[in-house]
Amino acid sequence: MKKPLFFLFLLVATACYKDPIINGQYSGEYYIRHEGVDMPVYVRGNVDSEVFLFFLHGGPKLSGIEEAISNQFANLHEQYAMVYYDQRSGGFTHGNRNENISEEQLAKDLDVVVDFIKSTYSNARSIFLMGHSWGGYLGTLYLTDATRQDKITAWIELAGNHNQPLTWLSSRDFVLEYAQAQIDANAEDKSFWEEAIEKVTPITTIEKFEDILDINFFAQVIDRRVGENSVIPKQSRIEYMSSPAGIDVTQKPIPILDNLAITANLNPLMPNITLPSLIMSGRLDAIVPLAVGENAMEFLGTPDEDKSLVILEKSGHDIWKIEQERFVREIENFVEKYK
Amino acid sequence: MRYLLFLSALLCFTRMEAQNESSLSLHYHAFNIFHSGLELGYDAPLLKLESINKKEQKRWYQLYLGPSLGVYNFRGNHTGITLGSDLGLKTIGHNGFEVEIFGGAHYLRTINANQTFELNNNGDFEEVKAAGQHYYQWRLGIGFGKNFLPKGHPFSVNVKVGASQTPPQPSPSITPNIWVGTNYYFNQ
Repeated sequence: MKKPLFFLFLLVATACYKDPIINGQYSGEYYIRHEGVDMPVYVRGNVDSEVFLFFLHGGPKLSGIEEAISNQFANLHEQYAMVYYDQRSGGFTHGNRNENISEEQLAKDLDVVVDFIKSTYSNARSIFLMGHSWGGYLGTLYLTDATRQDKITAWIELAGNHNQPLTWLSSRDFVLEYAQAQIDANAEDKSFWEEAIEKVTPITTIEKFEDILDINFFAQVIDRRVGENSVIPKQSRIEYMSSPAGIDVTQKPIPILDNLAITANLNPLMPNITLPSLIMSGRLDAIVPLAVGENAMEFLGTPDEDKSLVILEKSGHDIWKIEQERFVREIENFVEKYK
Repeated sequence: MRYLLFLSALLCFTRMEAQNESSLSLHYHAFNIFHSGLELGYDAPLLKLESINKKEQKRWYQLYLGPSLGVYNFRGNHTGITLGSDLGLKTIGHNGFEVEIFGGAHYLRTINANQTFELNNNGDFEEVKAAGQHYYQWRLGIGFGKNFLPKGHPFSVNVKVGASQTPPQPSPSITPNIWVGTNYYFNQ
């Protein structure tokens, strides 16, 4: 009987174990409880830099913690601290995370995470928000509130979809152009692209969520092809499932978020954002095409001299994965200028 | 109706026994395959049937209720404590080979792996001790094993594979599970 008890003790003891330093870099791991959910928050990298970059994940039902675990932004950790967290609808946030969900609730959650980092790390002098894809929408929404904007130093949008109808229709155009090019080149999978044209052409306005799914299906195929040139090693299924983020990330429908994807457009509120802003888009991004980045430049209230659009010519939707050196350099230049 | 006829026919060739041969089970439980835990259970037979074929070989069928208490550690994510019961149907051949199917509902209490903070009324963040969530969990599975009862030894070894879901969290998608362990039988 002693052996099972010892094993039980070992299990509980290892549950409390955590590494303060991972790969020579600082690591802080927390949960933040807010209005019914426990959101995981990881802090990685150089906290002594006094610069904290918040990564806002996409999806909206994906995971920031997974990006931290798979070291997607390890090259930025040496210079800056990065804060990763899982939004209420995504990753391994605990609790009834689909309850009370709304875009404003997600922005309130982010605000609590910002406040937590400011109170826990007294040296967090500069806070940059860095939103990817849906995270671009969330970050933009967050910043349209003046009180919240005052807490933030600058804004980085990575292939962000702050204007959802524009995103899907631009994606549709990208898919049609790509599909036609494949057909013209008599590609092996020509029939697949003929099907793409047949399915996507009739969608001239986004009426229902299924329209988005139809467009996004083909856009994802294109993006996976572009992503084959990624310089970041892909996590194996075993690595993923054995990691702390290793519960399958859900993409189960959340009707409120699905409806948001059809109509949400922050353009009318974006002139309220006057922070320095760096917009980054991949020329080969079929999911949130360059046109959406150009739209951000048009509508942000930031003075012209403090906003810029950087286009990575060979990159797709995960914009940090292919032209990594250039990506890191652009982020560093921006942070050093405005921190 | 056809099912009832089949069951009646089966009963004609079988005999029912008293509800004996309850067992204590101890299993290593791998939640999500990779995250280890232990589960202690008690299998209480509700019904036992015995059939004999033309070669005089016996086969037993057992319907059992299996309450259990378990703990697992999803490293870096949470520790889970489960309490619940499965209903299972087990068949044991004359050679001791056993096959079972089971399913049930369990209560799950999670304890977050990392410190948890909450904003209090004064606008300060304070730690929530032993923070976690309450869930229910259903599971379904199939097991294979070797039962040594036919040879007069009061134990069996078995492997079970199954799937569980914990609505609404922390595993919204279906999670694979494995159990490897032993049953010790009483009332021999």
